[in-house]
Amino acid sequence: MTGPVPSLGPLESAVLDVLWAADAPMTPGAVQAALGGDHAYTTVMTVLVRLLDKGVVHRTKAGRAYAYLPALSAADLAAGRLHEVLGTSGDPMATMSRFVEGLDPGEADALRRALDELDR
Amino acid sequence: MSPWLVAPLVVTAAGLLVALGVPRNASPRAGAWVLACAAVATVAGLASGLALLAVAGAAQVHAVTDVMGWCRDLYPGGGRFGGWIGLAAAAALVVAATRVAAVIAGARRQRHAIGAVNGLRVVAADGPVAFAVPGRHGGVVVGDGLLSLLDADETAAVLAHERAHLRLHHHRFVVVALACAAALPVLAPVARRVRFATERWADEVAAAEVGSRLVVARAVARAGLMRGAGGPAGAMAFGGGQTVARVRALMDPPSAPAALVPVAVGLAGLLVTLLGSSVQVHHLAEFVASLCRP
Repeated sequence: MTGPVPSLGPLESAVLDVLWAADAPMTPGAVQAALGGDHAYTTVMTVLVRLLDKGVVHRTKAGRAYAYLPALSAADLAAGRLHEVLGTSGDPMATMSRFVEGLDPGEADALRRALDELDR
Repeated sequence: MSPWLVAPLVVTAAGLLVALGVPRNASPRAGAWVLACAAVATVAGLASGLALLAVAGAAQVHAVTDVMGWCRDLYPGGGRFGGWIGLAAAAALVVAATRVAAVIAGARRQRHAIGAVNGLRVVAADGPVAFAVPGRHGGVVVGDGLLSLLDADETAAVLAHERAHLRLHHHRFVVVALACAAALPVLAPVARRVRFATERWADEVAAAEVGSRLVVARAVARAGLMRGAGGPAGAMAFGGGQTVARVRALMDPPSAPAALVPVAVGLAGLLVTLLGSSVQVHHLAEFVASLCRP
């Protein structure tokens, strides 16, 4: 996923979890049932449309109703978030230490020379 | 108010300078501890000095003493530091505290953004992604680009390095040092040294685990060249110069026992810093205690 990752609220995450767990697109009614019936049908509909808007789910026609399926895998979402974190942590105050940092000018040559010595 | 009450800050600064004398090729573990403790002691000393100025300034403003019930004229003939200096000191403290809070909040935000790792997670990434996420659901995150570049031994070295970070809680050193540098920007080089020390520390632990320092050196060099190609364009890397230094340190023979002398020097500097800082804290406590005695 190359664009910015949308942030998801708790209910949106829960709905997305339900869709990931399913092996076929689900109608809003099915999603509502899978969530345990704790939420109103209209609430679930709203969330699905919001996720559609954010590009996180697709929908297809299923008879006369729509069925929803995820547009991203869980791994894609996690990777997308990761890229955001990595992207913002080019700054000196990054607390997450990476295995290697960016190189100074001239450092690349020094590294290549060191590798030549190591590979000898 | 006697300027001698803030004189320990001079001692603290001197101690910090000596502690910085811990040379890079002293044991990285000792370096990380000494520098992190020196940074904390310096900030503690400075913060208490500022707090002392702020409270002393407030004690000389009659409106404040009326409201707080403090004795007026706490220092007869004093008034060398007016309420304005106290106000400036208080403002500096607030700014520093805000910056520290921002560092800690930023660290938490980054961890939440990454989510649960549960030991190991491979992600799709072009650059040399490999880092350790601390916490109960933490673990090592590795990019598939790096995995396809490195051979089996080098991969083991990277994983051992990151696991060492987690086992030895290096993120605490780094966050503490960064927080100190946020409170007192002149400590930024100390924070860089602490981060470098934790990287060297993890390198040596990985080398012991993998059985070869040269394998780790090769892994760092190859990962570094991968980063060089695709890193943030033009930006001066925070860890600038550290990658080559790490590779060279691994290629050189391990530090000889003669490193005891620089470590002793560093420890002496640390002790002086702690002493100056604790005297400063003591002054603050005494002053605040004396406020409540009419």
